[in-house]
Amino acid sequence: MGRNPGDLLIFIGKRLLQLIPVVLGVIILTFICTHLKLVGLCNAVYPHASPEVIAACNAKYSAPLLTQFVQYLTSLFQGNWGASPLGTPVYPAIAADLPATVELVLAALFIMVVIGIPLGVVAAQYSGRWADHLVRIFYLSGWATPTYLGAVIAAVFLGPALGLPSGGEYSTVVPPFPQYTHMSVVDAIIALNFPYTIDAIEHLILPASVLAFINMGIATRMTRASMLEVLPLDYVRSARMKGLGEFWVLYKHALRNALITTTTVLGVTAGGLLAGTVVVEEVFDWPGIGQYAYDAVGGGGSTANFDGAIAVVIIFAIGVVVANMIADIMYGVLDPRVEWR
Amino acid sequence: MSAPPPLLEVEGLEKFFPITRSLTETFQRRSARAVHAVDGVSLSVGRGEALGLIGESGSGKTTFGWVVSRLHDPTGGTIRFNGQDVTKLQGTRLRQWRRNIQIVFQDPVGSLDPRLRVWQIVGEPLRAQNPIDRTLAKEARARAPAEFRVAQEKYRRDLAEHQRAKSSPPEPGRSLPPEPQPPEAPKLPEVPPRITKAQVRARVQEILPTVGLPPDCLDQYPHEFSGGGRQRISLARALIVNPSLIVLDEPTSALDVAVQAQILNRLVALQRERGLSYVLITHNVAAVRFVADRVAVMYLGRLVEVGGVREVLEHPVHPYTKALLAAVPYPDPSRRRTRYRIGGDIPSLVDPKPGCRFSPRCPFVIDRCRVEDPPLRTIPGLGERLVSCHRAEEVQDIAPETLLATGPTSARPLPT
Repeated sequence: MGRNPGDLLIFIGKRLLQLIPVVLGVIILTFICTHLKLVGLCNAVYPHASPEVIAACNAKYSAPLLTQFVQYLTSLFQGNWGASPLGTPVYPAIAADLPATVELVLAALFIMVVIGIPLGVVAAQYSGRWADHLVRIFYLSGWATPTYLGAVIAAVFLGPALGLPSGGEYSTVVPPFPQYTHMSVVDAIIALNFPYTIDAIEHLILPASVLAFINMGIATRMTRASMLEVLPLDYVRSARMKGLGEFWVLYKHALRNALITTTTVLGVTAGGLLAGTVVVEEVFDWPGIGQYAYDAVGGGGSTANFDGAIAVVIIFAIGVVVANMIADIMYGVLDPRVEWR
Repeated sequence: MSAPPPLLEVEGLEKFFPITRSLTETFQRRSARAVHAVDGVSLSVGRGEALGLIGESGSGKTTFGWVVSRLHDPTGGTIRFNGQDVTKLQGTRLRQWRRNIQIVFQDPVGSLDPRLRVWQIVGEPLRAQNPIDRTLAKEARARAPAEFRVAQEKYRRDLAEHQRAKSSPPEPGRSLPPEPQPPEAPKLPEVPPRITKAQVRARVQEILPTVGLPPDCLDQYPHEFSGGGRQRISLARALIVNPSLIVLDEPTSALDVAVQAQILNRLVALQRERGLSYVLITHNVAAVRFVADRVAVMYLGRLVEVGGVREVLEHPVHPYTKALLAAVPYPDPSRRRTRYRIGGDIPSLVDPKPGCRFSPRCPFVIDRCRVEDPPLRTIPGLGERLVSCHRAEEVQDIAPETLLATGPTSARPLPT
């Protein structure tokens, strides 16, 4: 039938192999976009640099594009992702910042799943009635909120009102334990430090909620739509005939089938959440890759970091591709009608 | 001693679906207009009896089946099952009652959850009913001591009364109160154990052969079966709780003819083995002839004719039944040109006008039909037969084929 665990490994392996050309394509595209020969590029990027830096920069960009690409790719795989004009290498900075962003995105996804999906079920259950309209108002207001506005409102008003911290990962700048994973909550749990775990979660709530609130609509709306598609089907009625309570009818039979669509869409959204992190991380002072990107393009008066910006673009693109791949795999696992080939 | 009540007794059943049109209606939470899907249907189904319910699409057959099995709440009327009024059952009691009546749906694809395996689909009713039994047994156990205490109190009071009456000098004209019986200690109902996965699988494995499925298909998914196989899974799911009545909602209309015959044979065999009652909702007259003992003909939410299956099919009285049966294709090419159709439009189910529902299309219509609802009544000389037609006596002997000649405007042959 093509649904043995062994087939699943092959299924996932194939998806991973398909990932390689896509990532390569992403790198090529990013490279071309950023290495187009622009007049006075170096002067624009490094406005206050010494003549030696400008000369080195010009030398780097005057070589033929293919040579530059081979050079760039080799150094990329060697772990040399360039350096900021101040000499800080890009790779270690990104390696340290990426987990914090992943943590933020996962937390936002968690909130979207735990709140957004049940809201969709409620909206479908009471479709056309006031509960449905309330849910719609809720997710549309999230959708209509610009990220920066939502983030600032949450940080300035909501945080103090709810007594939640709205900056940084911990209340102290450096926690008293080693950061193995660079995910604040995970590190605190590894260190078995309960006060810091609570502290880290409290710090995570506001930025993750803002990110989730703004993107919640997609989860709620997809769930509502596919629930409405599933609810009139006879197997929902036969579940009721079996004597199951309404909760099980809705959440076991209807939602399980409706979720196949929602899962796919959530996977795609996860990539989009990465984009939202740039503003949210900056506002909430979250030491993730989004904040790094903000600084790299010269936001907030910092020195532009050209190599860093390219690296972030590549990482974000890979993030989107990987999220899509996970959605694809999830779809195959969740729907027994899909053969693992 | 009176006869036991029929298994299912429906009286004046109504199901209206409101249509909300305007904003005011939305705010006032009521709507002026409604689709009268089932409009005052009274029927009964005996134990071990198969009732065929026929009628064209949109006549309310399916809605009737769903309301009777409490998938929809009726707008009016009562449903009695085994003499018990189940119209208002709610919550746990309703869910417990569901084991008595099951539905097999029309669509073999949509009626099975694609995410579950066969044993999960078929065995789920057991897993749903088991906690209900446990909850009800626990509630009864919790209630029993309190009820016992009340009974004990009463016993003590009665005993004291008895004693006082005995010790005091007897008053003339007053008899001694009888000596009360001490209450019996309550028999606590057993809480059934939680059903295990192995038990469910064993029960499913047991039931699969009875519907003609191999017992080793427990771990397959519905999409691995053909239409007939899926319908058998649905049937197994319905049978596993040992219902006394199964509503078959066009169970064979999505299947090819050979498979239809297999399923119908299986249904008849199951009925004999288990003493089941059926409500067979269909527009397949041949299936009704094969399975049903009695037949009820529905038109626009109303019953027009009820009677023994042979009598009604051989000798239809109501003009609509005649027209319906005349429309059944007859397997003889030389007779093909004698197919009839009734003209006129199907009237709307939205707030129907008074009068016979069939009057706009009826070839025998008289003025009385347009103003007065014909009740469902017995016709002299036709025994148990019920017909709702003012002119039943006059039209009963007109053969369906002659509808052509009598139709004032509407009945005419199909153009050849």
